[in-house]
Amino acid sequence: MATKQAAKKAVTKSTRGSVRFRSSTSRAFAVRFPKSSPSWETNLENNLVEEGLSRTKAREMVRLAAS
Amino acid sequence: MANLTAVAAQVKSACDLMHQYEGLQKRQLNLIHKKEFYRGFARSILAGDKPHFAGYVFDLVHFRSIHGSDLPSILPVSRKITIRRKLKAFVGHRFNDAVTPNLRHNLAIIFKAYGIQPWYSDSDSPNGPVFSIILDRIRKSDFSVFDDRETETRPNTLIEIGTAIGLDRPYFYFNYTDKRIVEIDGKREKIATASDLAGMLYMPYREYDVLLREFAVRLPLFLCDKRFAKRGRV
Repeated sequence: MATKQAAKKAVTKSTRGSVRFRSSTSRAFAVRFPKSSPSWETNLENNLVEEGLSRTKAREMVRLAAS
Repeated sequence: MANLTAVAAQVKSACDLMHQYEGLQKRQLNLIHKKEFYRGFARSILAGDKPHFAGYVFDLVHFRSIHGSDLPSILPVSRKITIRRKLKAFVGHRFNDAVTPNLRHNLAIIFKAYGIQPWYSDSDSPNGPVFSIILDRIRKSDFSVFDDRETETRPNTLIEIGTAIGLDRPYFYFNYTDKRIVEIDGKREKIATASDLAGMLYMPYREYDVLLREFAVRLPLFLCDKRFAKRGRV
């Protein structure tokens, strides 16, 4: 119950829809993203990288394509 | 099933058309000179991600070829315009098995993207002389689309184009370039379009995918020019 409440609290604080879980032993954070499909920008960026472009170049291309 | 190389070539062709008719920013132009961009973009289209470029959303659709076979093709749809009201477009073409199902299937895909209702002379069961009905529909439509394929032996569509010109109604003219060859006095000659009919929205074609890609880029510009749509993000 306490874990659930902590997770809920974290949801409200998180940006980008991620949920942060804190380990009770190490006190380290783990970030989980909800299972939703990534945006077209993310997929295009990954596809451009797969075609041989650097991550930076791919990101720039996606930004220009979206503009 | 569309392959990556073919779709990448279609993306390049669509980007070229956008630059030709709309003008792209210099930085966007630099971007589209890279083959990795086309292939990466094509991957996204094939995955169904609907990627964007220069205000257009790209999707993979299944047009029909002039012979009725499946023709997977990309469709750029402008997200930069807002249609002011429901539009009606009169479509004039030869009524036969080679044209009717294939042209109507293809136009339905593009028109649906902009909420345009196609209007044919047989859309309902109008009562009255056919030509009067056609005249009335051309007059009442926001614009018309004419396809002259298979009209060599029955040129009704050319009369309809003349009607749209006479009524000063806007129209697109899909001009099929591989018309039949006729032999007159021993001389073989391909039937050509009457040059009087060539206008600003005259679009020559051999196959529907190339024609409709160009139509998809020119249609939103036309809709804005005629004030059927306004610019602004949807």
